[in-house]
Amino acid sequence: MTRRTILGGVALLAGAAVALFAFTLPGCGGPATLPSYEPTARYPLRADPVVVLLPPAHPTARPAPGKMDEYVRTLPSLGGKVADPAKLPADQKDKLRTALDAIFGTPAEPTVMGADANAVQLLGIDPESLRSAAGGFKVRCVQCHGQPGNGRGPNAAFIDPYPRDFRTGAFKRATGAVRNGKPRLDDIVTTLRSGVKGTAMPMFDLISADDVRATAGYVVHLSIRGEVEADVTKRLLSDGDDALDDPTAGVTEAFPKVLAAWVAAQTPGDSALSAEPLAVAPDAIRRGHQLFLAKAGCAACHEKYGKTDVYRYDVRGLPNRVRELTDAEYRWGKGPADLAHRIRFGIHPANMPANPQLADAELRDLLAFVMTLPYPAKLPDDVRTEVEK
Amino acid sequence: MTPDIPPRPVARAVRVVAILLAVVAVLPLALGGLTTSFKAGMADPAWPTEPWFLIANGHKYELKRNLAFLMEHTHRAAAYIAGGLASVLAVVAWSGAKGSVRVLGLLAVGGLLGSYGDFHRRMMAVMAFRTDHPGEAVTYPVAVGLVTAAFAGLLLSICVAHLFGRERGKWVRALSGFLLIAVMIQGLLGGFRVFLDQLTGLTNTVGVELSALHGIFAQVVFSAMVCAALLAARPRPEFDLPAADRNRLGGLSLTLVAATFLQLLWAVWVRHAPTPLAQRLHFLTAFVVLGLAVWLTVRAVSSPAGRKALSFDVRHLIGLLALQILLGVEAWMSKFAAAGPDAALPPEMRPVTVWSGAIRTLHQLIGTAILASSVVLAVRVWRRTAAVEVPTATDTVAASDPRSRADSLAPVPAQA
Repeated sequence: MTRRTILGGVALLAGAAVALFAFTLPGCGGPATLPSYEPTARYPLRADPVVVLLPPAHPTARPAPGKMDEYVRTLPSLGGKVADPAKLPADQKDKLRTALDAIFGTPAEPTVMGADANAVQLLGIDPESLRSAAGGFKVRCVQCHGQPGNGRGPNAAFIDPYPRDFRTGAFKRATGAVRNGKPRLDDIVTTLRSGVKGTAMPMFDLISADDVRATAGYVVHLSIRGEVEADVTKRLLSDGDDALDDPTAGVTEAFPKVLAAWVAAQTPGDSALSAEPLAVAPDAIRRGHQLFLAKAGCAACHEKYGKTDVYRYDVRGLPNRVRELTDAEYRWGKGPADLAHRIRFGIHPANMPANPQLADAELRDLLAFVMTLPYPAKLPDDVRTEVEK
Repeated sequence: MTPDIPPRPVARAVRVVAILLAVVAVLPLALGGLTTSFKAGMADPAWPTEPWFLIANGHKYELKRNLAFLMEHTHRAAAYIAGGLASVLAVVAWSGAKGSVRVLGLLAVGGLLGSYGDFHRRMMAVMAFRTDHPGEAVTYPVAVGLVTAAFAGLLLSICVAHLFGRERGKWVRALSGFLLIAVMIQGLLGGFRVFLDQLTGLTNTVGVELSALHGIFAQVVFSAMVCAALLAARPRPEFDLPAADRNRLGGLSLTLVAATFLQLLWAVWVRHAPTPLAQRLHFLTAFVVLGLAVWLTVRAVSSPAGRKALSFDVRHLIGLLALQILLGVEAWMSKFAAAGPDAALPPEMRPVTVWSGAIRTLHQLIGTAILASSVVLAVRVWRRTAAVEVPTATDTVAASDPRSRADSLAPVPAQA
C-alpha cells in the first residue's frame, strides 16, 4: 500500500465521519420533527414530597444547592406537613400511574383526554401539537425543567434560581382575570419568547409562532398532569376528611377541577395600571414611601428595601429570598405596567400577597417610589436619608 | 552558536508564549468539559459579555448556589485569556518574519484583532438590546462581521503562502495565524450556540448543533496549539528518524490521528445526544484506537532509532490510553447505569451528580490529551530537522531539496 493510498484513505475516513456526524446528530435532512421519546417510555411517578402545609414561621436560610427534596422533608419538624409519595403502597402507585397515563398518555404521545374542544383550543393541548412539541421540549427544556416538568432536570441542582416546577400549577407571569396563579397560554408564550432575565431561562425568539405555542401547550399538559398527581397523592396519604383510597377515583375527580381552573384563567385580566403617564414628582415619591412602609405592607418582607436577607416560603416549600429593590433588577420586566401588576395582584408562586386595597392613585405613588428607589440621587432628600439609613 | 547546534526556528519568546498558550488552553477545555458534563451551557443566556464580567458582576449572583453559572462564566473568562495569548503569539511570531512578509502578516493580525473586537463590542450592544426589547427587530453587525471575515481570509492566505517559502520558522508563524483564527471561530461557535441552538431545538430547520461543533473544534484547536509549541522548539537532529523508519511509521501515525479524531467525534455525539448508534460507534472505535496505538508502539520501539526518538512519546500515549479505558468504564457506568427513581428516566435526563460530572469531564480531557499526543507523535515521525542545520558532505544536495529544509514535514521516498 503506498503512502498516498493510506493518506487518501485516512482523509476519506475523516471526511465521512464529519459528514455522518453533521447529518446524524441534529437530524439534518431527516424527518420534520425532532427525535422524541422512546414509544415505550412512561412518565415517572412523583418521587419528591408534596407540600401540604407550610411551617408557621418564616425560613431563615436557603437549603444547600441540590438539596431541595431533603429540605422539604424537614418541613414537618418545623410545624409544616408534607406527603411523601414513597409511602404509597405499590398497588396504589400502579393504579395512580395507570389512571394518569389514561388521561395524559406517554412522553412520546402526550394527550389530555377528556378535555372539551374549548379547553383544547384555549390551552393548545391538541394531541398533534403536543406530539410535535415533545421532541423540542426534550432537547431544549428537559435539562432544567425535567421530563415531567418537575423543575428537577439534570442540571437543576446547580442553577439558581431553581427552574420552575410546572406541577405546582403556579406561574409568576399570570395575567388572567381569575387570579389563581395559572397563566394564560399567551403568558407562557411571552415567557418562552422573552426568557427570564437574570436566570438560566433563555429567549426562544427565533422560532416560529406555531412551535412556541405548541411548546406552551406542552407545558400546560405537564402542569395539569403534575397538579392532578400531587393532589391525588396528598389525598391518598391524608388522614383527614379529604382522605382517599382509590387513586383512579381521585384522578377522575381532580382532573376536571384542575382543567377548569386553567380554562378560567384564560380570560384576559384588567391591567393594573391605567394608561396615563406615571408622575414621579417628589411628593408622589414621598407618599409612595409612606405607603411602602405602612399601608401596602411592603416593608414587612422587603426589610431595608430588600437589602436585608429575608426569606419566605414559595409554593414548593422552598425558601425564596425577598427581592432586593435597590438594584433595579427585576426578572419579569421593570416597566410601570409590569411592576404595577406584581404589586396589585401579587406573585402567586412566591407567595407574595396581592394589594387589592390600594387605590389607583396610591398604586401610582407606590410605583413612583419603587421605580426611583434604585437611583438615590433622584429621591427627595428626606426619603433618601431614610433609605440610606 | 556552535555549528552543530541548530538555531531556533523562531525567537525564544515565541516558544515561551506557545507553551504558555497550550498550558493555559487546558483551563477552558476543562471548564468547557465541566459545562457540558453538568449541562450548564445555557446557565447564562446572556452573550457576549465582557472578559471581566464575572469579576465585575459576580457579587450579584450567589455563585456557590449557582455552580452552573460559575462554570460557564469561568469557561468564558479562561477562553478570553487563551484568546489573548493566541493574539500575543500571532504578534510575536509574525514580528520575527522578514521584510514584507512581516509587514503583511502583522497588518492582517492587527486588522483581524481590531475588527473582531469591534464585532464583539457591537454584538454585546445588539444582544443587550434584544434581551431588553424582546420581539423588536434587531440589526446584527453583519458589515463588521464581513470585514472580520475578510481579515481572517487575508491572514489565512498569508499563512498558506508563507508555507511555500523557505523561511525558518514558517510552520510556527503559519500555525500562529491559524490558531488566532481558530480561537476566534471557537469563541463564536461557543457564543452563537447560546442563542442559535434554539433553531434545532424546536423546528429542526437549521440542522447544526453548534455546541457539539464547539466541542469538536476545541480538540482540533488544542492539538494545533501543542503542535505550535513543539515546532517552536530548537530542532533536535539526533532524534530525526531515518527514512526507513519514517516510512514504516508515517502512515500508521496519521491513521492513529484520524482514528482518534473519529473517536472524539463519537464522544461528542455521545455527550450531546447519546443515541444507541453513537454509543456503539464510540465503543468500537475505542478498540481500533487502542489497537493502532499498540501497533504503532511495537513498530516504533522495534528499531534503535525509533526507540531513541519515540520511546517517551509512545509510552506516554499508551499510559494515557490505559487511564482512558478506566475512565471510560466509569463514565459509562455513571451515565448509563441507574437505580431507583432515576432508572425510570433516559440517561440524558437523569440528574448529574458531582462524581459523574467530574468523571465525564476527566474522560473528555484525557481524550483531548490522547489526540494531542497522537498528533505530536505524528509530527515527530514526519519532521526532518537535520539536513540544513548540520552541514554535511551532502549539504549541497540536501539544501537544494525542498523537502530537506529545516523543520520540513514533507515525506521522503523509502530508501532502497
